[in-house]
Amino acid sequence: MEPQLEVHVPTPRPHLQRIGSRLYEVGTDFRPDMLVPARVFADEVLAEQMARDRSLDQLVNVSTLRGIVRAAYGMPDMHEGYGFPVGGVAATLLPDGVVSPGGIGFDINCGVRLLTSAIEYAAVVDRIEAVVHELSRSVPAGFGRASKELAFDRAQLDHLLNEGVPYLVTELSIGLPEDLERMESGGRLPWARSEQVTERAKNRGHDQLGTLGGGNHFLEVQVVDEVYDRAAAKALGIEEGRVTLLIHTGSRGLGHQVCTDWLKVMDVVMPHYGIEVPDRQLACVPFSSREGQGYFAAMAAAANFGFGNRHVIAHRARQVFTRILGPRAELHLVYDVAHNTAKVEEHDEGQVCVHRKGATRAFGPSSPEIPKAYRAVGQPVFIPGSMGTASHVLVGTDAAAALSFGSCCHGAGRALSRTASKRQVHGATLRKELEARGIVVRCASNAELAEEAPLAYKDVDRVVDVVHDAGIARKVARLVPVGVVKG
Amino acid sequence: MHEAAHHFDEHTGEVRVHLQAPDLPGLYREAGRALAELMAPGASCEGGEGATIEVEGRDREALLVALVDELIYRVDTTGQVFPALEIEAADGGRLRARIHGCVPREFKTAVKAATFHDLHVEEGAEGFSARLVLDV
Repeated sequence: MEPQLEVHVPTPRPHLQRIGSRLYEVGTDFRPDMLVPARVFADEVLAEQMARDRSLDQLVNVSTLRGIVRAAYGMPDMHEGYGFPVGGVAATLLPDGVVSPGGIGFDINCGVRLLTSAIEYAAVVDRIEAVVHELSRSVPAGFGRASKELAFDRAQLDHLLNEGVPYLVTELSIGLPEDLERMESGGRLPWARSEQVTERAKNRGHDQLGTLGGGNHFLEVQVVDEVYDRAAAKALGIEEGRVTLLIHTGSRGLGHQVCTDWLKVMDVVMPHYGIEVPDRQLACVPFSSREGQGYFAAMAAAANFGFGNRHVIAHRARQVFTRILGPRAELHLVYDVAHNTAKVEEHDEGQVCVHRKGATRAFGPSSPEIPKAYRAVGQPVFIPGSMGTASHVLVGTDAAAALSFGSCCHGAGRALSRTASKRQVHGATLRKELEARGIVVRCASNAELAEEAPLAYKDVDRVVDVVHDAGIARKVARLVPVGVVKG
Repeated sequence: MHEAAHHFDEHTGEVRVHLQAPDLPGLYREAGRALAELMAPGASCEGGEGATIEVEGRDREALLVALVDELIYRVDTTGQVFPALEIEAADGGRLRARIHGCVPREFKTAVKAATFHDLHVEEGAEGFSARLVLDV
């Protein structure tokens, strides 16, 4: 018998075709299992960066999910994740379109909270180091760090999981009642059910409330460097030269465990629903199924923990600011926004489950879901840069609903692995460079600092310009760091 | 035959672990060793506290993820790492292991979850190999 010749045919890589000034597409003709196109918001440089990792392949995989409508969207900061790319948005039609934990991510309701003050930076420059030092002492940061002061018993934890931030405000006097008006969903997803959260998840999370965690989480003291839209900035309470605080963290070990637990469940039951997925991390079930509803309720509970976590951190930060800078340094909440969630929303296609992984809502002025105070301008959107680079404040537009299911990016997106970043950046040198620029840094190790170097991320100004030019959100202000507590 | 070994691939935002071992129990043991090395290199737990764990998975891949997830859970809740595992049983979708842990001097990498992404366990002439992506 003639020897068989094995021919390896490489899997074709998806290529983006430009279909708009800031919109690219992989059409459904690329692969027979695609139900909708894969579309990304980008410019030429960002599109080229996306082609270097497998984020486009992942977005194509997302486009095969049962019930997906319109398109699988990639935001300009899109990069490779697990299952879904980070910066991915997908909407599935209810009742039987799927829900996929991979479309939300492990860090459920990782998100960002921005607070402003009436303090002029120029008047407190010499006290910023003290502020940052106190913040680093008041907010446990780093892997496995727990909160000694705020370890909840089971009953308290269940209250938080079910009731969200309103529980912290009304029962424990943490934060201010007016904060609730300035949080996405009022700091509470009402369909949460703590009984859908396992004991393992609760064991991981019960003493982690008010902690920063590690990785790319941070507290950043900033100054408003430039205002692009004076009317919107005024509505948000943002003024040039004033000190602000940005908090980036999520649901810690509890959220991770919820995702892990439910991925395992769906991996087992998925075949019973006749579902196959091209990547096992996309494990999913019909939204209306018992498992789908169970996950959705557990995800909401973890999301409430995430809101609560940022809320407690903000409470501590408020105490630090007034202690060090005086009573005029009271911090006012601009907004708290989630960037890893799924929500049921009404769009042109009908009622859909919108998965946002490393993506946030960007609702316009017409939306009844945004705070009354912002109905003239739109929902605040925050796009943090890396350490040493700017963060941006934008507001969502009404057009975003048709463009991206009212979704926007969440940051600059990683461009380098942690190892590559450490290879190229000397942490101690970076620390000195940041300090030479007047940025106070608190980070446990120089190696961790190097992992989060600006070089490791895409150009946030470019990402923001794409969002603005695409019409998803409008630029309002640019904030620059003056102090960083790295998680 | 494969000697038990592992190495890590760098990637944006994650770590990909490559494992190899002469047999399946050895592969699971190597996964534990790799996780401990990633989280706290050089941690030695000789004579460390012991515990028995049991996990389930519908196939070898799911069992590998379940094992690593169990270890991550124990790291997060006890502050210990577990570089040494004795696999007592691994069949029929269940794995039972004896683990020995200790508190390391410091943690280097925070591993938060094992993923199903790009997951692969393969048997070949030289033994078993596997690929596993960890969320860090």
